[in-house]
Amino acid sequence: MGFRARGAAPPTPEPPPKIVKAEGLTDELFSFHFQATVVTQAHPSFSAAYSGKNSMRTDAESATSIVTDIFAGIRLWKGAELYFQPELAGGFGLSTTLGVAAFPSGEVYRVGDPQPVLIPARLFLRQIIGLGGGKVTVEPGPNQLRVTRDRDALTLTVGKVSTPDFVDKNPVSWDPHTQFLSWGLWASAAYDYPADTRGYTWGAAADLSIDWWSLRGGIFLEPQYSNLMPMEWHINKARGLVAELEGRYKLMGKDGAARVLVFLNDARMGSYRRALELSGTNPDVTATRAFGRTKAGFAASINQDFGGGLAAFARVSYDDGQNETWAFTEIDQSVALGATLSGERWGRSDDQAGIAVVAGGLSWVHRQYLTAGGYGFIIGDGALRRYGPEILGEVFYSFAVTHEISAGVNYQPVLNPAYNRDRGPIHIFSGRVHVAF
Amino acid sequence: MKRRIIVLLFVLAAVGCATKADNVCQDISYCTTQSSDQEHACEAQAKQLAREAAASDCSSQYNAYFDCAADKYQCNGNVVSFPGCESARDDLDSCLNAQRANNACGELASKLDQCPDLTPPDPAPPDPSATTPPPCGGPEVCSSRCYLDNVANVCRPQPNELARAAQCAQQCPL
Repeated sequence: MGFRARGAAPPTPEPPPKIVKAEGLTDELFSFHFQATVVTQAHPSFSAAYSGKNSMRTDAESATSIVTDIFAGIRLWKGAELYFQPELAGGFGLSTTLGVAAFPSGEVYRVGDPQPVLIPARLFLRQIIGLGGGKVTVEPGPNQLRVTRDRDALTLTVGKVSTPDFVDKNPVSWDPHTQFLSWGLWASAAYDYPADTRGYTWGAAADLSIDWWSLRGGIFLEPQYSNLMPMEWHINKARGLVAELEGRYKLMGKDGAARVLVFLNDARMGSYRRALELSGTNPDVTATRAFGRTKAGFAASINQDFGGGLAAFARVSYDDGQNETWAFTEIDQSVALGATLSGERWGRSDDQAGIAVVAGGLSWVHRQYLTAGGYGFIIGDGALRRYGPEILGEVFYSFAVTHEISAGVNYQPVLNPAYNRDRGPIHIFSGRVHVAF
Repeated sequence: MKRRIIVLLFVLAAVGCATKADNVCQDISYCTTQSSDQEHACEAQAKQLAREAAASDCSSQYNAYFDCAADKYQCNGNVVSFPGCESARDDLDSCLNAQRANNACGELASKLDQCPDLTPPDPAPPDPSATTPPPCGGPEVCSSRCYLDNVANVCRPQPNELARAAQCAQQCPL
């Protein structure tokens, strides 16, 4: 099976395009951008009635990760852009990224080898077809050439990408490099989005944006095995389908947006019910894998600007939770709420502070599976005697050293880690340095 | 233009759906490390069997069996099993057997009946059990269809035709 990793990893996110009124600037023919992010996390010892092989360690520990990316783009012909993003990532997460479903760092990969590894993270072609509505300028950034184009447009993308490049992009909480770190906050956690261990996949997507609304859809490859690198290239055997509708509006003159997505993943997943039928104790969901198993669900989110640098977001997501978690994390229901505040009120407009909370839950059969001693790929305490929703809070402050460099601190309390009321709480402290230009 | 694009997006979203029988073939192929050609042959046989079942008014039994098999599939070593699907399998076989006149079993029997009798007359009295038709469950329907599809003249099958029919029957999903 080759490369063995033990958990889905968040990808380096692609920022939402910043669309402004046409500025009369020439379109970029090519671009290069760079980012590097180093995160160190630590937690003191905490109490637990019992532990399993996928539990977060109860003794004090720390872990450091580094993720660096180069974003290269070139314009090929009218409306066509080609992007290539090599990524160098290394390090590991607390307890080798085990024991918390809304894992506290979106910077870490659950890889067996913490040595830095260079991968071709993204390689994709984007074709924009203008549909009128006046001219707008899309500002330059990572994987985004500056371009002046029609406001209304159909954008087609094909190649190696990350599913959240296209859907579930809430601009208030989408980037663990600079915003909230928890997996439950920068994504809709119950959307088990198609991805390899490092958070990327191959696929095709379309985005139709007309005035105030956008309709998006995509088809993406699923991994051949839960949370591993090899992808299943036969889309009749496995695939992830997603569609999203987004509406943008103004509330009291301030920008806001709401979006809802539905997804249907099909892969050779195991069934929790079948695993329990075959063995009432220590069931193994991986022994029940079969083609044709699905996971369906939805995710909705809103974001609202309140002026003065204050913005808020909320996310709700759900999946049916009948079959094995395949690519992201073991959350079947999730509610998240938070706000960010820029430092413009105290004269440091590039600083940013944030506060948020996420609560996650599991489907009934998923709980029963863990109760019987089953293991997933990120959680499993060997038993689950007292189930409770996993609740993670997060506060951070990011200090802008220069326009390109920021340093920040972060605190996350975790109640009922891995849905287990007999463990924790865990208090996680982080330091983060981010460089981007 | 915009409306066409929206329609196209919905069409694209609907691609790539496999049936439960396809899934069972994929499971069998994965467990027994078959080639993709063998897997596709199994899927083709499953589709043919679905048509036979529909002609025999056995579609509900067909669907029930493959729903069960897709759910209960097990792979131990290189051996596939579907524990718990025995009654669904019996229901399908019984239905196909009862409706043999409407499926490949009946078609093959009918063609064989029209073959000139080349054997010498048997002086012994007729055996009552010889009048009992052979069973016609899922495997027999599938293998009969393979025979019909690969043998031009069922009365005079050629060795290469018989080999193709046997190879085809090996990919029957039951």
